[in-house]
Amino acid sequence: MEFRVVHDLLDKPVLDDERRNIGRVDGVVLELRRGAAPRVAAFEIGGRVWARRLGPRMARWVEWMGKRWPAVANGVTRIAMRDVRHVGITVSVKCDGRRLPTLAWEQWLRRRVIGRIPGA
Amino acid sequence: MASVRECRVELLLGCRVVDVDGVVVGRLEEIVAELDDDEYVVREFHVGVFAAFERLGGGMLGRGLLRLVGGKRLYTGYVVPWKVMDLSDPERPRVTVPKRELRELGETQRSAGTMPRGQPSLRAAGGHRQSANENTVS
Repeated sequence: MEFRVVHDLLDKPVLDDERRNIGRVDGVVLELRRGAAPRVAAFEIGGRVWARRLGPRMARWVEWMGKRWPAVANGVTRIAMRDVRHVGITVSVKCDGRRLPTLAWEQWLRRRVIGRIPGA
Repeated sequence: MASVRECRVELLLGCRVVDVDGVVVGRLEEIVAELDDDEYVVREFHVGVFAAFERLGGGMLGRGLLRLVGGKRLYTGYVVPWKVMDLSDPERPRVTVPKRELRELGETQRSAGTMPRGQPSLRAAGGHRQSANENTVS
């Protein structure tokens, strides 16, 4: 089966086991092997990966944010291709999204802001 | 143990690819992989303006317009097999053969749109199956 890495995978929404949206595919990792074809090893989700695409200045700024506010500027989540169940309009993966650092920002926002709004 | 390095697709995208003589082939726009023993193995890289259009899912009408507006200059794209793509410096991808030896994105591929490339072979398989059934019936 043929698979176009950029068209079919990059920037697609990612859903976990419970079909929770855990972000988008911000980066794809190729494994370059000597004497063998490169392998699509994993994809990554996270603000830092996304910022890298916008240029080195943005990447440095987001990294600085991550050091200053670790809960807000979340880390990078790497999901191996073997954990991918299905690739279509969305990418379904075998994992529990609640444990991933990609949702740290949302959890922080829920705890500190949304949860304090009366009736929220 | 074979040495393994990592390379990021999102940073490779849009990088200018040159051939062995330093001639610009185009910008890297798409990577085609194949599922092989539970692994997605890269088969080829698509380079050039046409490849970019293909990535954006341009339909047949769009492709026709591209040819009409840009002529040959915009309507070019090359298929670079993984064996001849040198990614030792990911910021400067290089093809290890001259540009003239690269296969252009073919007319059949151009009109295939966003359909999977395996389509013709699937069709062939179907045809084969049909003939097998015919044999069974007879």
